[in-house]
Amino acid sequence: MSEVLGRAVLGTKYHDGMAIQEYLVSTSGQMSLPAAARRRWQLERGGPVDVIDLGFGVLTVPHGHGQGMLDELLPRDRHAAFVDSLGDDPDLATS
Amino acid sequence: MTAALLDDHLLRDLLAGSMPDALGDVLASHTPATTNYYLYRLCRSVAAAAGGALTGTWAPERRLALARQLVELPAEVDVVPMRLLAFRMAELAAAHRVSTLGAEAAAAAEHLGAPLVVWSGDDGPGIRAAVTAVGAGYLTVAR
Repeated sequence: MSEVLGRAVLGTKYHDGMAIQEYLVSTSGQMSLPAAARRRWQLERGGPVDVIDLGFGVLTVPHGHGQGMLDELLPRDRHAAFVDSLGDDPDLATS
Repeated sequence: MTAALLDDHLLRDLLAGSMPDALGDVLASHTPATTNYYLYRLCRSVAAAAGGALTGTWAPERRLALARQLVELPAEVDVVPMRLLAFRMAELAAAHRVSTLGAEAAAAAEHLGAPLVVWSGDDGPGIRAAVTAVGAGYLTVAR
């Protein structure tokens, strides 16, 4: 395992206080979660997270929050309104 | 354990991890399944959604990438292939006043010997009649 696993590489592109930091991935594919996130998500002693591979990036959220993102993207009432808007669609209406 | 066919409202709840208690009761004794058209209708809806606080400012292609992942079905959710249902759907569509979605729901319920479970706010009388006619169960779930 690389000794620089998860170490932020500072002093290159980013100013102090910027949210974006560059991390290194080990040869086995491991990377550390930022310390602030570990504290915020109460993972100081380790634990699971949810990871969503989006192609253009990899989204890491607290364990159990990945599924809930569908609630944000498409709340129940919005989906009900979409279905209602289909009216008399011969293929997709609830009839 | 037999399957229970879920409509797109309840499939959304299952995928979002926000199942109503009554759906949890159903899935305690049934494995989840849905239909191609219910899944397609849910995908149409999520693809059209503008997004919330997190994704509302994302570029459309990035929001769609997230949407695609969020509606990817877990392996335990069964979908009967259309090739096994198409002819029966055509028969049911001719015999009942149902949409293509309704014909597939009834044909899939018959094929699986599974009850169709729908959200009570989207209870279609045509689908209910077709499902009942093929001898399958029809359940509504409030939330």
